[in-house]
Amino acid sequence: MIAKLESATLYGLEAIKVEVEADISTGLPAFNIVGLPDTVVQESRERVRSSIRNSEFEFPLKRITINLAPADIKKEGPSFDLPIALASLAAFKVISHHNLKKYLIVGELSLNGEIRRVNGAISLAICAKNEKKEGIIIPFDNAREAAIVDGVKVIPVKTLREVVDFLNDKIIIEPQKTDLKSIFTSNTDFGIDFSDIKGQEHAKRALEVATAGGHNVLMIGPPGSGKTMLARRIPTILPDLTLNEAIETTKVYSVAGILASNTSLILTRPFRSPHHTISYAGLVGGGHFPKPGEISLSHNGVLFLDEFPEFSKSVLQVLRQPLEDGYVTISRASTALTYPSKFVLIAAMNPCPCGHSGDRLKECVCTPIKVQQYRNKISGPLMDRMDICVEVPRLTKEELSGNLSGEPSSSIKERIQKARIKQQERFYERNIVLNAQMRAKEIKEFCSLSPSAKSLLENAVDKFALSARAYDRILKVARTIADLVNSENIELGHIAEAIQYRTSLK
Amino acid sequence: MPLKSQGEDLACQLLLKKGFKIFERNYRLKFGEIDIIAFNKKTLVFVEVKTRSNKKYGEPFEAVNISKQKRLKKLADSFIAFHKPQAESFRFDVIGILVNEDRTEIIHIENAF
Repeated sequence: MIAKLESATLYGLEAIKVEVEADISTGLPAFNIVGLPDTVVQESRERVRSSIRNSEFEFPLKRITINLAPADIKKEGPSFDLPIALASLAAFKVISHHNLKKYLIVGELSLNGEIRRVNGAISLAICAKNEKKEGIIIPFDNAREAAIVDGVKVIPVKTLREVVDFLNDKIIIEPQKTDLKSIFTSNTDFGIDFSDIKGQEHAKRALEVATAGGHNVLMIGPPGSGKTMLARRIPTILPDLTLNEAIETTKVYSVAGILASNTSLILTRPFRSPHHTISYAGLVGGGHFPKPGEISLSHNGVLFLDEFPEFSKSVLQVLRQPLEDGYVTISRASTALTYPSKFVLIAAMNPCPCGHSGDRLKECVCTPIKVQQYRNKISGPLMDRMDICVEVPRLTKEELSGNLSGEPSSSIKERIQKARIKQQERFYERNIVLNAQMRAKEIKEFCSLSPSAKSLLENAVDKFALSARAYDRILKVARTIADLVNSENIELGHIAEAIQYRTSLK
Repeated sequence: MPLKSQGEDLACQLLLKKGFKIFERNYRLKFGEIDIIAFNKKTLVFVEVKTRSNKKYGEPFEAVNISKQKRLKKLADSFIAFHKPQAESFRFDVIGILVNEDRTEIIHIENAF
């Protein structure tokens, strides 16, 4: 007796349909799984056997063979428990076959027959939709997340028994519904605000430009001058996620298995600040089945690297390519997977090991060689990718004791939001959303300079020996600065500001 | 009579009834024993008989585990090498027998492994 149903496995951010076949034959009792299963899938034999028995179904002493097709893709993770159990039960004729084909089925089983959450629910639901299934049978805890996908019924289930009764038409389970509007109107309170920071207007302006256009920032300043404080407040001025961006970001978190239970969508832009002891695999992603790393987890958001030179050199070097491309491909023996990584890099560092080089009050005790060595930890090519370098100096005592509070985050956010809308309109149907993502073609089209601006930029290229990449990046930053004041052309002032961001520290 | 030979006798009766020809019983080498070797037409069948008096520890035939299967395969190899039987094919059967006061249950699994 043979039974067949369909499930799916994650392959990067996408899910691929997998057919689960169960065959029962005579012979010594055995329960074998074939079709390139990994250890977790092999172990599902024990979970399936126990949960079937504990759900008060009979597990016959027969030779059971499970096949997962296509046989050449590695099957990973516990999400095959439920499909394997159901295929077996269908082969034992406990479940009638007519409903099986309608659904894509995923879920992890516990020994007592309860169904546990799986990773990547949103990707799995999209797969069900693409495969033209009527619905997806998914663990209860994942239902809200999967229900974001339109056009496919999401059947939330809690126990094996419940699924069997549902497939046998004994009970009806209402599909999960999600109201996108109500999700998007919820407001987040960060508890911190840019107005908390006194002074540092220059740095605030730089961060505003950076977040508006998606440019990378390097903040340099003595300890305690407020670099980290500034960075922590970036989430408060980040523009709201669009639906598509929210789905992309949620997918990454879901596949990485760090999406909180019962969440439907991630609504705030991610802000990741990994510790400087992070390994390169932790940063760009890795593992036998590569999992997304910090750069993918900060997709559509901000990656903040505090104490930039303390990161190991090789770790920083792996950032170079994803910074340029907006995605990262991780190749391992078993597979090569691509994860998105369109993030804004914000880095912070001290000017020298003691931290007081260039300080107004405290004298630097480092030898010039030490300072040189410290700065050399950030390689030239990486430095070239930092669009905005900004100094965050020690505050004067007037600034410190003064009652002058800065501009609140909400009004900064408003300007950024406007600039982003302008960019969206500009890049409509071009597959990019931010000035920082412009390619040669777009730069040519949208970064027209006034004659005076042009001659200033040409002089700067000569004087500071700027690379071709630096030239393009200055244009992109200038475009953003112009967008912030709603100017069609890039004027002299805009290009001057962009140039000084790049050259102020060299 | 011990349980083992009682069960093997029952198994032989069953095989004869099914038209098998018993070739040898208790073929014993240093490292083990094949309970019954029989011909089913031109197929030589190596039969492992497992007899139990209760199901406390599962079905009798469940006790034929991987290591036992490996040992039987080795024994069959040596049997074929020494005796060069006139058979077209070979296979392994397992017969599980449950014997207690009120009833006997026999399960014959053909081509078990």
